[in-house]
This record gives sequence, C-alpha cells and structure tokens, in this order.
Amino acid sequence: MKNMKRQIPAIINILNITLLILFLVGCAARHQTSVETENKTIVYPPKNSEDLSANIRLCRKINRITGNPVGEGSVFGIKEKENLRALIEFENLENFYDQELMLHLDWISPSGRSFFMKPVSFIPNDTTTSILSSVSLSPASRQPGIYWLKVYYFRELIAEKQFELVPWASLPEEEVKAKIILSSKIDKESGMPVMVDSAFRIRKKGRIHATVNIDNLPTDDDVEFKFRVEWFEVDTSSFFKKRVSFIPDAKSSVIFSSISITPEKREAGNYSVRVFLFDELLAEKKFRLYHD
Amino acid sequence: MLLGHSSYYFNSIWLQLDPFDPLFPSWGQFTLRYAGYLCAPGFLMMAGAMVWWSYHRRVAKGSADWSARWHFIQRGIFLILVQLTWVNSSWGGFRELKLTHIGIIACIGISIILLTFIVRTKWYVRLIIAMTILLIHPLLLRISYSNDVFWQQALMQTFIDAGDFNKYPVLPWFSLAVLGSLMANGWLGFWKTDKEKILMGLGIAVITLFIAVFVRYSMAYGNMFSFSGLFSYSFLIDQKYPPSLFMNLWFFALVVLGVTLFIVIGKISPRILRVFSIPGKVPLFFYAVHIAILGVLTRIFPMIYREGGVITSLIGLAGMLVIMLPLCRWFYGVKRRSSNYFIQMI
Repeated sequence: MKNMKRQIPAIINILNITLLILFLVGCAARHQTSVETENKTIVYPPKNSEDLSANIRLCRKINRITGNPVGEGSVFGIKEKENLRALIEFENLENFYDQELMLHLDWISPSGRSFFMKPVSFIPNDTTTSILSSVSLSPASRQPGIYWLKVYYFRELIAEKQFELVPWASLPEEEVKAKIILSSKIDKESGMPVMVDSAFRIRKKGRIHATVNIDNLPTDDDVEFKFRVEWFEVDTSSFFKKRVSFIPDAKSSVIFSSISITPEKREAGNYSVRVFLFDELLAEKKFRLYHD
Repeated sequence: MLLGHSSYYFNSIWLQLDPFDPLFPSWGQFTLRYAGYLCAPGFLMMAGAMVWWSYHRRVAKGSADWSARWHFIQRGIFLILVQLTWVNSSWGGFRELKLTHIGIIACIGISIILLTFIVRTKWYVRLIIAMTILLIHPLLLRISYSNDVFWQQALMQTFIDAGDFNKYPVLPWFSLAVLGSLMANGWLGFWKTDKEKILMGLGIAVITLFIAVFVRYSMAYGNMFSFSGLFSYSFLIDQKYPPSLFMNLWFFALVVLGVTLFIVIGKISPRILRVFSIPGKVPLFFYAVHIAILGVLTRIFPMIYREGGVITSLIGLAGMLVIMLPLCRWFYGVKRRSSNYFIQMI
C-alpha cells in the first residue's frame, strides 16, 4: 500500500492517457470543422444528419405580428433603452418532439468573458421553431468592440456568431432611396414588372404599373413611414394618388401603384409619376402616352 | 490534476467556463476538463485506502487503538488548516487570505477524520455506510437554504451541496473515501496474488461501470441533467459539483480500473512508473507548491493568464513537471531526514 500511495500520480496519469484515447475515438456529436451560413453564422454540423442544427439571427426587434426579425445585421449601435435580440432558429427540431432539450446561449464580451449565459431547457412541440434571447445595448453595460454569441446543445458548441457594437453616433445614416419602374404588365407569379418602357400606347383595358423599389429604410425605431405615389399630367395637377404607410421590418420594400390608360380616361402627352416620403419628393419618373 | 490546473491558469476557456454548468467548444477542451475529473475521486479513494491500511499497520505494530486514530484526526485537522491558509491564498498568488472558503483538501481532511471512527468496522458495514450515503445524498440536495445566510450556506455546502463556499461537500466524497478503504481490504488484505487483484479489480470496475451506465441511461434516481445520447458530453458530465450518483459510481469504477491497470503495468515494466512515483511520495507538498507556483507566476506575468488553449495547457503541464519533479525529490529527502512534526505532516 505504501508503494501504491506513492504511485497515485502515476495512476492518474495513466487514466488520463486512457481517457484521452477514448475521447479521440470520439464522443463528440459534432464535426470539429465549421461551416459558415449565408448570414455569417458559424455552424458545427452534426455527425448524424438528423441531429439538431441552429442558425443565429441578430436583430434589434422582433415584429410582434409576423415574428420576423426587424433591423437584422451584425453591427449595432450602443444606445440607452435599446436591446439586441438573438433569434435561434432550428433545423430538425421535429425529430425531438416531446424530448427535453438542454441549450445554453452564452454571450461573450470583447475580453473573451461570458457576460450573460442563458440556460434553456425545453420540450419542443409542433409550434416551436426557435428560441429568443436578448441583452441590453445601454452604454452603462456595453463597450464598443467585437462580441460573440455561442449556442450550446447538450453542452456542445453547435453555432456561434460574431457581432460588433459601435457607438450609436458612428452608425452611418443612409438616405432612403426610391427607384420607379414603369411597365405595361406585372407578372402574376413573380410580381416582377414585364414590358418595361417609358412610352405607352393608349388602348382599351390598357394600364401602366409603377413598381417602386425603396432602399435604406431605417429599421431601428417604431416609426411609421408614410409614402405617397402620385400621378401627374405635365404642367397640371395630379390626377391620382395612392398612400401607403408601414413600419419597416427590413431595409428594402416595394410599393405598387397603377393607372388606367384607356382612350376614355387619358389623352396623348407627357406625364410623370412621383414618390413622396413624408411629403418630400423621393423619386420621379416621366413617361409618354400616345395613340396609334 | 496538474493538467487541469495548468488549463485553469493558461487556458482562455476559463474566461467563459462555469465549472458548475460546463460548456465545451471542442472535444479537446472537453477531454482536458474531463481528464481532471478523475483526480478528486482518486484522491478521496486513496486517502480512504491509506487510512485503513495505515491504521491497521499502526495497531499491528503495537499502537493503542485511539492513539492510532488520533494520528489521523490530527492529519485531518492539519489538512483543513492547510486549505484555509495556504491553499485558499495560493490560488490567487497570495493576494489575500480567504478564511471563509473550503475545498478539496479540507474535504479530504474531514473525510479522514470521519473515516477514523469507522475504520475498524467490517468491510460490509462500510459498504452499507457508503452506499447509504450515495443513495441518500440526492434526497438531501432537495433541502432548501439561503446563500445569503452564512451559517446555512456553510453548513449545507460543507456537507451536502456545492457552491461558492465549497465545491466539495463532504458527504458524497466521504462515501468515496469509505469505498477506497473497502478496496484497500481487497488490495492489501483479501487478495493475495497480483492475478487475484487484477481479476477482482477488473470485475468490480466493470460491474460498477455497467451499473453507472444503467443509472444514467435510464435517467432514474440520482440523475441531475438529461443527455443527448449514450457517451455524449452530456451523458458523461451529469454533475460534478456536487457529484451525482452516476458520477460517483462512474469515477469509482474508473479509479479501480486505473489501479488495476497500474498493477498490470507494474508487473510488466515497473520502470515506466518510476518517474511518476516521485510526486506520489509527497502528494500534499506537490499539490500545495504547484498551485502556489502557478498562482504567483500568473500574477507576476498577467499576459500569460488564460490566454492560450489546449496546446498551451499541455506545454504548461510539461513546464510544471520540469519544475515540480526535482522539487518533490528534494522535499522527499528533507522529509526522510527530518523528525519535525509539520514536515512529517506535509
């Protein structure tokens, strides 16, 4: 026994080596090499293709009606009373209905320290598709820098995503832009303009469709954007207007408007269509109507 | 142990790792952590075996019963004092004295003192005591207490639960010490030949491993967390602080398996083990000094504190072995020559 007592470290080292060999064979359920998804989430794919996978979406808000992320991205401004939300979307969750799943969402600061770890234990059902976690973006609790969110499934890293926090003032303020496309038809399936032109023949059942592509919409605030698409006969007042109001949940959006160009309603000449945001002109497109 | 502590000081995973709820970014990090899980059960079982063997040897040499027991009570108290003073302080490079915290060394000390009172009992009585504690412990964990009330926290975390005051509550770990004393009955008593020791050791280890796997896989009594699959990370790590029933059975079996392996290697090629036996001659010195060196080193050079990964931890292990092996050899010489009470205790 005296010899045995002296050999304790040897016993432990031998066991360590044995354990290392055992684990080399592999008890990890994930591949060690990662893949990057379209939205820059680093994913560690499961060895079993039917096992759970996760994708991370970072955003400022979640649309209460649609459940979609609002203001999605990877760079966020530090601001009082603002939060950063993470939507963890799963694949193959249907294979785990009625089983208790263990997840951990670990938020890592630029120093590499975990500043918030959220353990989640849940039993998925057919209404579960994702889970949510959020952290404050208040200047009192966050510094500018590169952060990480790591998602662990049964203690094993399955997905991670890097994001940057910057001072609110340094975020570029982009102008909202609109581009008008005029066409004789709209493809019923794709919704895309067909027979795009700037001159249109006045005819029975004739119409002009204006497709307005709007970009650089701010998604950080709950502000309702009020657009107006207005049709003008040159040098006269407008003859038709369409008002559209919405709270943007993405940086881009599309507005449609159309007018009839039958012989009873229109005469040959020069016209224009203008798009306004809060009564300020955003874009204008001129077009011509003619008879055969 | 040294590998685990090297990781603790040099591995950046410790910026994020919560030992109470561990998460692993790679199998390398998992292996590094899990290998260290073997140490505490190993220490407690060896301490139990040592108490049993040493007590009976002292009595056989003519010591009075309570004189022999008193030796171990003193040793237990000494370990508690070492924990409160040197060990607690050395973790942080001797920045502060932390008297309101205990850990593994105090747990071993208390276990040695408790074991002293049952060391003369028959092996099956100790088996019943150990198994009763292991089976009752999950029930005791249901006792609610407040971490804000110090006496409640200290009482519960000294004996039952794990937390900031103590990660190594005595009850579950004491049961491993008792099981270690039982194994000593076999290794140093009943089983006369190496063949017998190897076969019995293997048999006990394998049976216990099966029981542990059954307990875990069935998610029956004593389990703390669910798992994703057989032998997955979550299967193997149920809960260490405090250990779940599965963890205690699993690591008891692995330690028995390790000792059996050690006996086999000792028979085939004893030279392989010679180098590792040096720290084994002065285990407390090894423990106390290596943590102090790591604590002071990372305090003086903060740029190396938790900046690396798995490889850095392995390099740290190699470096510490280079430092510690000659130190242990030197102290063993000092201890052999000295009759000083404290030197003999270390």
